[in-house]
Amino acid sequence: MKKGKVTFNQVMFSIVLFNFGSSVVMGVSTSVGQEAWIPILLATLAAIPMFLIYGRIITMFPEKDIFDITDILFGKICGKICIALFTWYAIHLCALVLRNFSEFTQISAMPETPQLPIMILMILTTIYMARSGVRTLGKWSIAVFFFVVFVVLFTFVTSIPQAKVDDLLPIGEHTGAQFAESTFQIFSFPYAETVIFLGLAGSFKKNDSPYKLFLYALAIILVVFLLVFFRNLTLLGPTMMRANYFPSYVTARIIGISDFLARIESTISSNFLFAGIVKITVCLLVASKGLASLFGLKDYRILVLPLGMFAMALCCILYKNTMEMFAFLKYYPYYAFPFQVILPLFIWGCGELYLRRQKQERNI
Amino acid sequence: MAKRLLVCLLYILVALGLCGCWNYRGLDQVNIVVGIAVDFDKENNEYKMSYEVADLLTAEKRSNIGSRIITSEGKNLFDAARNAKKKELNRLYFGSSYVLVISQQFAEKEGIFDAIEWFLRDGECRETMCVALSQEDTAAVILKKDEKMSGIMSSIIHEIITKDKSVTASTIHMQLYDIYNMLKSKGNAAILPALRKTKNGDREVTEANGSAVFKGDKLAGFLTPEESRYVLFAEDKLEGGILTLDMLGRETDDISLEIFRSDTKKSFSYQQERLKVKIESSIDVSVAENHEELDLTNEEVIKRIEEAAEVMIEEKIKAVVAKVQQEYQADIFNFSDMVYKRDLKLWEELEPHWDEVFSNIEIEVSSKVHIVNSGFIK
Repeated sequence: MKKGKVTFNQVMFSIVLFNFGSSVVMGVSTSVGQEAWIPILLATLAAIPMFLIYGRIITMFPEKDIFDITDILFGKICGKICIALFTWYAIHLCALVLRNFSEFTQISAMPETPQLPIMILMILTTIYMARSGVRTLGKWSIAVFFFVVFVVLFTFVTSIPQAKVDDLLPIGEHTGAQFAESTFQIFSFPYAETVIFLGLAGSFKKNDSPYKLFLYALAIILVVFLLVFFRNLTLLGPTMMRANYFPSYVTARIIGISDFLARIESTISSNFLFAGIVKITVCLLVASKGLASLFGLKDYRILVLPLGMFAMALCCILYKNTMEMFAFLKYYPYYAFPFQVILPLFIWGCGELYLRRQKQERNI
Repeated sequence: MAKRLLVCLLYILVALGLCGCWNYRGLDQVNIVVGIAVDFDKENNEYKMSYEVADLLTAEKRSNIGSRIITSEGKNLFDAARNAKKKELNRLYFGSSYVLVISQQFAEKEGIFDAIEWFLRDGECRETMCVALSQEDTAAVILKKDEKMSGIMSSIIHEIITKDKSVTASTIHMQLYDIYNMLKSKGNAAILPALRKTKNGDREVTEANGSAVFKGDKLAGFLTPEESRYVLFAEDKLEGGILTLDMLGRETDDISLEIFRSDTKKSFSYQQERLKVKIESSIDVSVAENHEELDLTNEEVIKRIEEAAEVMIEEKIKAVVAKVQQEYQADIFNFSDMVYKRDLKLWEELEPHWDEVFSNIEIEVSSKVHIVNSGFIK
C-alpha cells in the first residue's frame, strides 16, 4: 500500500460516520412529524445524483484533491478563490459540529460545566487525529463504525416492546411545500455535506470506484436514518419527538426492559462522540489541506493546530444560545447550497469541458 | 528509553487529571429524591413542594434504606426545588425520582401541565417518572409514611401503580412523557391514577383508588377502581385482574374469573353525521372461584358463564364511556386520535366541534370471553 492511501472500507465508513456526525443525536429533520420517512427517502433520492457528480469529479482527476483540480481548471487566481471558499466551508462546518457537540453535552450531562473545556478536549483530540493523517482517520472509522451501528440496532430492538406503531399514521397530513422544505433540510444536512470529502480525494486509491464508494455509504446511511427515525417516533410519539432538541437521547432514556436494562442513554452520547470526532477531523483535515494549497505549503500538518484553535474560537462566537443553534438549521441549507451544489456542479462542468478539449488536442 | 518512560508517566498523569468531571457530586453530597409532591398555596400564591429523599445516613447495615420528607416553597417548581437548599446541607438530586404526586386543588386551578413541564425540560428528571393525583387535601400527605413502616413510600407507590394493570387492574399507569403526549394530542384530555390514604390494619397507607380524568389539563372528575378497569379494557392496556359474576341472581357474586390475556380493538364508522365507535374486546380467563359448585365440566355451564361475563363487560364498558362522555366530556379513550390517524379528512371536518361530536358518539361494544381452565378442581 502506498503511503497516505486509505482503503475502500475505510473511506466508506468514514463517509457514513461523517453523515451520522451530528444528525444521529439531533435527529434528522422532524418538522413533518410522523411522515418524516418520506423526506428522508426523497432526500436520499436527491443525494444520489449529487453523490454521482462528486464521484465523477474524482474519476475525472484520479488521485487529486479538489484543491489541485481547481488549480488545473481555473488557473492561479480563480482557482485560489474556489479553494478559499471551500476551505471556509470546511472550517465553518467544523465549528458548527463542535458547537453542536458542546451544546449537547451541556444540556444532557453537565449543565454547570462551561462549554469551553468540552470544546477544548474535543478539538485537541481531533487535532491530534488530523495531524496523524488520513489513514488514522480511516482506521478509527472502521473501529467505531461497528460500535455505532450496534448501538443503533440495539436501541432499535430494545425499543420494540414499547413501540406504538400506530404513531406512523396518518399519512398525508402535510403539504408538498412542507415536504420539500424538510427534504431540502435533510439533503443539505447531512447528505450533501459529504462534498467535504472531495478535499480528501487525493488519498483515495485509484482503483476504488468513487461511485460505488459514495452510493454504498449512502445506502448504509439511509438504513440507519430510517431505523433511528422509526425508533424515535414509535417510542416518543410525534409531539414529543418534535418538541425535543435531541430526540434520540430522550428515546434512549425511555427505553427500559424491566429494571435492569435501563438508562442506556450514554450509548447515544458515545455514538455522537465517536461519529462527531470523525466529522470534525475530516473538516479540519480538509480545511488544513485547503489552506496549505492556498499558500502553496507542502505540508498541511503545521496548519492543523492553528486552524483547530481558529475553529474553536469561531465556534464560541457562532451562536448566543442553543435556541439560536437550532434556529440556524432552518437557514443552513440556503447558506450551504453554493458549497454543496453550485461549486461542485461548476467544477464538474468545467472538468468535462477540460477533458474534452484535452482529447481534441491529443487527436490533433 | 528514559524518555519513553517519562512520556508514559506523563500520559498517566494527564489521564488521571482528565477523568472525573466538572460537575462532580459525591453520593454524600446529594439528597436523592425518590418522590415529589406538588401543592399550591393559594394564600401566598406559592408552590409548595414536598420531596421524599432516600436517607442514606441513618440506614444501618441490617435495615432497609429509610426516607424522610423535605418541604420547600417557591414561586415556581424549580425555584421551590432550589429553595430546599436553604434548610438542607445538600442539594436535591432528581435523577432517581419514582413518582410525582399532584394535588387535587392544583390540578383544578393551575392544570397539570404546569406541574409536568419543568420535569420534562430539566435534564435531571426522567421522562419515565410515574405521575399520580392525590385525592387528599394535599399531595404531600400521600408521601407521608406511617411511623411503623420502613422503606420508601414512593417506591411502594411506584410498585402499586406499575404492577396494577396485571394484578388488580383498577388504575392506570401514566409516565411523564405519556401525559405530555396525551395533553398535546388531538384529544387534549388525560387520565391519571388517583391515590388516597386509607387504613390497613393499624397502619395508615396509601392506596390506589381508581383514576382521575382531565379535560385539557384541568381536573374534571374521578372514576372508581371498577370503572377504571373498564377504561383499561377500552384502552387495551389490561393485562390481568379479576372479574366477579353473580350466576344465581343473588346479591353476592359467586364466580371469580381471572384474566390472563386481553385484547381490544377499536374501530369507527361515520354515517349520517354521526360517529360510531366499535369496541371489540376478547379475553382469556380461568375460573378461579366457584362458590355454588356449578358443574364446570358441563359445556352448557361454561357457556352460560362466558355469556354472563360478556354481557357484564359490554355493559360496564358502555357505562364508563357514557359517563366520561356525558359528565366529563374528556376524550380519555383517544377516539380523536383514532379518527385523526385513520381518516384525516374526516378528522379535519370534525375537529372544530369535536367536543360536541365526542359527547354524541354512539358506542357499540362486543366482547368475547374464553374460559381456558378452572384451576385444580373440576
